[in-house]
Amino acid sequence: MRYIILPLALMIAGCSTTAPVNTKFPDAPVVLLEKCPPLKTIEQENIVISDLTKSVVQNYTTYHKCSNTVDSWIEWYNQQKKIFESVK
Amino acid sequence: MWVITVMPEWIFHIILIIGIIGLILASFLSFIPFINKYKLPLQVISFVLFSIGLYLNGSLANDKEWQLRVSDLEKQVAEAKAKSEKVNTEVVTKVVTKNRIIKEKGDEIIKYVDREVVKYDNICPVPSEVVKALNAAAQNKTVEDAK
Repeated sequence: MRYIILPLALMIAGCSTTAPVNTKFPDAPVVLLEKCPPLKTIEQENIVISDLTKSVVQNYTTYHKCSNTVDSWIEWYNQQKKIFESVK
Repeated sequence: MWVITVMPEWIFHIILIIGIIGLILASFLSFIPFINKYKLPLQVISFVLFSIGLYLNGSLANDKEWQLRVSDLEKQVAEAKAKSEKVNTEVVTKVVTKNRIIKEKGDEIIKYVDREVVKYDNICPVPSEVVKALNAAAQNKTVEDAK
């Protein structure tokens, strides 16, 4: 029995490696990295109601685009994180 | 283990088999005069060969198992990369399309303003205080700090 213990111990000692496979979290698409533009201000002092309304509409449009980009970023990150964590 | 990459597999099996045969011969066939004469050296050498052979075969088995794991992991990584690229394409298409629609809707409203709201330009003056308040809100400043 003692003749078998040493070889068995040697066999176990030879077993230790690490799997050389690395995963990298993907880079975000460029369109999702664009910063939100600043809102427009009214430059002229004597402004008519239609120009004022147009300025407001443009700023609301800017907000909706920015909000859409942020929502898409959140969706992209959650999906990529799920895929990244599925690799074991 | 570098030995596995340098030497062919059959050598490890041969070493182990020779060790086992040597141990059997030394243990059970010691009544044969030739074997009995060299019993101790045969036992020692066989034991050493058996140990080395067992170790090398163990390393070989372990290496094969790890190769399988690496191969499986590489396959998973490739599949994940494909899924990731698909998500990228879908999200980018969605955000670009939606932003285009938002802009189109905004343009439609501007056309409406140019058509309907302009009728009130002369009868609905805008106080400067309204302009100051809107500018301050746009810049996220107080009315005093805004331009």
